[in-house]
Amino acid sequence: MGRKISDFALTRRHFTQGLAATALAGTVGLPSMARAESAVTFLGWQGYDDPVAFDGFLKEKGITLNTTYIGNNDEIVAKLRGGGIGQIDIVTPYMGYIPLLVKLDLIQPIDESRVPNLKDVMPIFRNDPNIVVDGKLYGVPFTWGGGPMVYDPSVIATPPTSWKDLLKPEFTGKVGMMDDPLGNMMIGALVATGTQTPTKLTAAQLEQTIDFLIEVKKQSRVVAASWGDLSDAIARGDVAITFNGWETMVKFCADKGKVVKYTYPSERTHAWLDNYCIAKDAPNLDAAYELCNRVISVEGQKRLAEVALQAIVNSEAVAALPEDIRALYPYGEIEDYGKKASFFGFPPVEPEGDLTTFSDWLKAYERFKAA
Amino acid sequence: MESRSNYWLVAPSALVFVALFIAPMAFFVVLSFWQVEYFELSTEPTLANYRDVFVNYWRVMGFTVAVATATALLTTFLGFVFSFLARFRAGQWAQALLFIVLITLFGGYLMKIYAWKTILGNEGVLNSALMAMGIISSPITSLLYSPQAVVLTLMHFSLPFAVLPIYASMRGISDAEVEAARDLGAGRWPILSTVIVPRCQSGIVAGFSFVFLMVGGDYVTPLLVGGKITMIGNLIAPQFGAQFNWPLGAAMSLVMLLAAVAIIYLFRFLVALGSRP
Repeated sequence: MGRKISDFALTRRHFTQGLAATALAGTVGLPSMARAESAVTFLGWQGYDDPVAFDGFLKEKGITLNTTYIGNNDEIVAKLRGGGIGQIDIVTPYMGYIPLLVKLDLIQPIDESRVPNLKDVMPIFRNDPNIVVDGKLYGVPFTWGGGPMVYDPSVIATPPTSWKDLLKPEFTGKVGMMDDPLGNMMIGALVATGTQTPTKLTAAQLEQTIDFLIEVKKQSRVVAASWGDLSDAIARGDVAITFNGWETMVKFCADKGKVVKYTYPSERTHAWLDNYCIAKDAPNLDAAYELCNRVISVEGQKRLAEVALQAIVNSEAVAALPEDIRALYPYGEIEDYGKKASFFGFPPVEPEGDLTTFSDWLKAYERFKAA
Repeated sequence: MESRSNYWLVAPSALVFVALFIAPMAFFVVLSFWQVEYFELSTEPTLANYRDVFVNYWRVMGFTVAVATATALLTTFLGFVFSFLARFRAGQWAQALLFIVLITLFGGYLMKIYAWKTILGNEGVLNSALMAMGIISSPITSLLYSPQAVVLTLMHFSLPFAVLPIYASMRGISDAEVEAARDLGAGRWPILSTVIVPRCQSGIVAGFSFVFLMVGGDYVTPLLVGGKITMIGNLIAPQFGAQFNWPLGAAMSLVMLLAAVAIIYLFRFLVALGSRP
């Protein structure tokens, strides 16, 4: 299971996609479905259906699940716009996409009285400003993570306190980066421009950000293709410290017999929060609410934490986790998490004043790739 | 007369060729003159994509051509040596040698890449062995995550594609030709350069072309063993995904294609030049 999960983790965290899919996508084929009473159509990351599907819950409720897995968040927009409204029930977007999905009128507000387990969801997730639009909740947050600095304590006894420290000569050739455009650029912007909102950058700030990333790249040995590869590189001793990271790397490395730790540098880092959202005109509304409630139930959340090693949101479920699984994420000081890692959201997708758009970001990122 | 009336027999393959190769290629050419602005496709003809390619991507493209040429030359040379041994020196073992080459094709592409990671890493097989033997005291870090690692991995992957066409063309050389040359007083080198190489020109060029094209378009190997290396494929692929700029991706691909054709023709010319008596 571990290998499969690291694969899905890789794709799930590739938020590298312009919204462009919508423009040329035209008609997007959905599998034709034989409709039972509540055959719920689920469009999301592989593995995100597991917490609701792993035991007898679906059978008990008379629900069957038609799953279509996505390779990036844009597919959610593309498929909903390309004829998915009225057919798709559940989608699982990154929180930064929710304001856009609302703006495009593709998802519907959550009736909180129908998701009673929301009461157990920790406030930092439940109240994330990205998922509340005009005072209405549009997503049921169920899993999250951040981009800490991961290091090998056998090489680096005291971790640096700033991302900038990676530029010091002692780290030359020891740094591993991750090829995660959005995450890298948000951290880069926090450090290089001092902004507090790294999703809103002017062209000049974007340049500064890329310049900084190129400096870090000069210090690095590898820009890894996946979290599994970055974990490999640190577990094998090819690198000793990372720029951008994921808390779960501790477990990936432990499985390879290597002890690594992580820290949150003073400039903070980015964080992400994934949600179950209900599509507009979802044909199986009752069943969709059952699933939304189930994914944040104690059973569903424990499953997600223990099998997929994902971070979870339900405080009761956290209390019920085995110690080694709970230790993967900073649950103990979760209310302070925002001081270390923030749910920044997403850069503009359409021109907005003098701010750069996400496609400008991707274009600028190529300069980093080519450097 | 008869041959003309039989032309229709090629119709099915011609149809497949046109539908699956010519038509998409033509679409690509047209697409490369269009533009995407804020996710809207504009069909107004423009050279902007080509300008972008020559201004922003020539460096990565040049690097890619260099890596591909180096890999293709080395692999073709190795493939030639291997084929020569199999054809003229191995005797009854020739089939076994070829079987070994074929069997490496079964290994799978990603498996080979990960195998090289295991061999070349800081704590990899090679560094560990050298350190155990006391030849080095700290690992050679430049083995993995370097252009050398990319070339080595791609050579391993593409060697069969060089061996097979070269060996096939060598099989067309009869022993009598070689013996005749020897009887006329030719030594080893003259036999090689005036009989064997000229007779397998087409195999050599085919082997080189296969390897060059595979390497020039590869974007997985640099990603996994190249460390920080970016080849043009790594920048083209996102144009068809994340960036959603198909027109730019088409222009990049076509320029790269033309560069590849030019290199292959140059190689063919040089081989022909070198094969003249």
